[in-house]
Amino acid sequence: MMDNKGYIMSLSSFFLILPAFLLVMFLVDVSANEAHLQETTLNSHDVVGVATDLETNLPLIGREVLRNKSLEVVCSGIPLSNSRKDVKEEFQNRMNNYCSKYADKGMLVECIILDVDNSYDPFCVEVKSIINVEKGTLKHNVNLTQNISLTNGSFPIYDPLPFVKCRGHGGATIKGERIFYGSSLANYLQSRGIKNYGAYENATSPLSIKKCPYDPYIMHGNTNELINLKNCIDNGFYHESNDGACFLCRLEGKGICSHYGMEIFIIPAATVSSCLNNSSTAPSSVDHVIFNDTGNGTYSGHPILYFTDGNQYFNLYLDDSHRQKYGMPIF
Amino acid sequence: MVFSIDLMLALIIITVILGVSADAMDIASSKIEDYSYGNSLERIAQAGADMLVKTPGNPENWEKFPDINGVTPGLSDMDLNKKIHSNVISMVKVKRLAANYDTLMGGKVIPSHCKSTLVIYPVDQSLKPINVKNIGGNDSSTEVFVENRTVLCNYLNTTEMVFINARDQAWLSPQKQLGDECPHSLLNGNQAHKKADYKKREAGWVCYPFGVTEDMLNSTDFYIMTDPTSIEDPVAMWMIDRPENRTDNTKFFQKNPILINGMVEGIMGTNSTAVLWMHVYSSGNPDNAFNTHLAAFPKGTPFEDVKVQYLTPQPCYFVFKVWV
Repeated sequence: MMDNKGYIMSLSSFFLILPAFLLVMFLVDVSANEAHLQETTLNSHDVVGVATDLETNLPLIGREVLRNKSLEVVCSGIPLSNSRKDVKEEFQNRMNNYCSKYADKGMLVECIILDVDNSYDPFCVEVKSIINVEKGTLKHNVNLTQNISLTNGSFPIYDPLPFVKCRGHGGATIKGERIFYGSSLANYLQSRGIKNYGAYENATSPLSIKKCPYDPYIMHGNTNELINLKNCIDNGFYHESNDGACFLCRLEGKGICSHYGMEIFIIPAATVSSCLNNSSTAPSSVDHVIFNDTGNGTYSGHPILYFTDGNQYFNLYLDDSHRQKYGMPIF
Repeated sequence: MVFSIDLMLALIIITVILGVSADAMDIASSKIEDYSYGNSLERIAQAGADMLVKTPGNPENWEKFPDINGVTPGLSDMDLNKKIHSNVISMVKVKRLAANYDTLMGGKVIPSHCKSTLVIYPVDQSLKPINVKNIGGNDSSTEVFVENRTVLCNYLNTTEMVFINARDQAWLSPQKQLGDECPHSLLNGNQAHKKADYKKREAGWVCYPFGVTEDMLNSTDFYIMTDPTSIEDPVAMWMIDRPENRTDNTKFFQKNPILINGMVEGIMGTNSTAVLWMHVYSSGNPDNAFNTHLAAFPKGTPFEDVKVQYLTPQPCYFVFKVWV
C-alpha cells in the first residue's frame, strides 16, 4: 500500500523528470528545424537558378521580338504606332509563355517587362525588367537593365524604315543583302516636291544592321580613291549619328528623331557616263536626309565619285557636313 | 517518518536523472551554439564567394580606379556592352584584388574579424594557380569554411580580334557565307578575293576587318593561329593588309602561332589608328576545313602559353577559405 510518502516521491519524480521531457522535445524540434533548413536551402538554389535562367534568356528572346517586329514592318510597310509599347507588349507575351513552363515545377515565376527604350549605344535597345520567382514561402526578386544588341547575334535584324517610306510609291524589294528601290524612292521624293529626285531611280541601300569598323569615321576619306568609303558601301555598314533615327523610331517610320541614332548611305544607281559635274546636285545620300519629311529636312549634296570600272560611274551626293564627318573633300 | 529508505532511493534516482539531464542539456546547448556559429561563418563564406563570383563589384569598372577607397570588389567579367558574365571572372580584377586584398576584403566582403584566403586553380594543370591571397595560420581555428566554386576565367586576358569559323560553316551553317565584302573585290583576277564556298567546294577567300590602335600595338602581342594547329588544306594561306595599301603578299600557315606585331606595325605606318583586313585562302573543301584566329595576348606572354584554348575562358576552381 502506498502511503503519503509515496505521493511525495511520485510528485517529486514527475517534476524532476519534466526537464528531461522538455529536453527531448527540444532536441526533436532542433533536428526537425535542421531538416527544414536544408530543404529551404535546396529550394533557394532552385529559385536563384530559375532567376538566372530567365536573366540569360531575356536578351535572346528580346532579340527575337525585335526581329519579328522589324520583319512585320518590312513585310507590311505599315509602321508601328508606338514601337516601345508594341515591343514591350510582345516581349511581355513571350515572357509570360516562357514563365508558364515553370508552373509544373511548383514555382510561380513572373517576368514583368517595365520598359523598352533606347540605350546609350544606338546599336542596342535597353530593356528594364523585374523577375519574381516564388517557391513555397521563398521569394526572389531581381531588377534588371539589359542591352539587346541589334548587330551581334546568330541572325541579322533588318532596317524597316525604307519599307515604310516607299509604301504607296511602288515599294522597296529585297535582293540578297540589299534593298532595291526601283522607282519607289524617286516617286517618294517627287511626291514631296524634292528637286532632282530622278537621281534616286534604281537606288539601293543595305538591309541588315551592321556596325561600321571604319571608326573614327574620318577614315572613310583616307585615300583619293575613297577605297574605305567604297568598302563601307559594299558591306552596307551603319554609322552612329546624332541626326539619324534610332531603331525604335525607324519601326515607327520616322526618318529622324531626337534620340542618338544611326545613318546609312542610300546609293544612287551607277551612271554610264561621267557626265555628272560638280555643280549638279541631288538630295544628300544619307537616309535621315532623304527620309526627313518634316519641313525642309531634305537638303542637297554635290556628287562625289567613289568608284568607276571605266564603264560605270558610282557617285554619292554628300553635303559639306557629311563630307566633313566622313573625311571627304568639302565642296 | 518522512525520510524513509524509499525516499532516499527516489532521491538517488532523481539525482542521477537530474545529472544526466544537465549533462545532456550542456551537450545540446554547446552543439546548438556550434551549429549557429558555424552556420553564420558558412553563410559569410558563401555570401563572400557569391559576391566575388557573381557580381562585377561597385563601381562595375573598379579595377580601373587608381583609388580603391569606397570600392566594393566583385570579379565578374563584363564585355564591351556592359553585359555581366556571371561565373566568368576577369583576370584584370583578380590581379587588382590580389594587390589590395586586405583593404578590399575586410569589412566589405567578409567581416573584419574573419580571415580568408583565395586561390584560383585552373583545371588545366599546365597553368599555374593564382594565389590571390594565401597565408597559413588557421591551424588553431576549430571552424574553417571552404567555398569551392567552378568558374570560368579568361586566364591570360586574351582578346579575339578575328575568328573565322570555317569548320562550323562547312558542316552546319545553312546559307550565309563567311566573311565581309573584301576591299580586294575591286581588283582583277586572283587578286579579286572571290569568296570561298564550302557548300560548293569552291576555293576562295574569307576576309574580315579589325581595328588596331597604337596603344594596342604597344600593349599586345598579335598572333595568327589555326585550329587544328596542323592543317591539311594544301593551298591554305593568309595575308594582312589595309584597303589604302592592298598587297598580294601571301604567307603559309605554320604549326606554331605566328607573331605579326612587326607586320601590323609596318602596315599601320605613321597612323595611330587603322582598320586592317585579314584574308584567309582555303580550298573550300569541308573535309580540310580549319578555323583561323587572330588573337591579342598581353605583351610578353610566354610563347608556350600562346594556345588556341586560352582564347576562351578556362574552367578554374575558385577556392575561398574563411575562418576566425
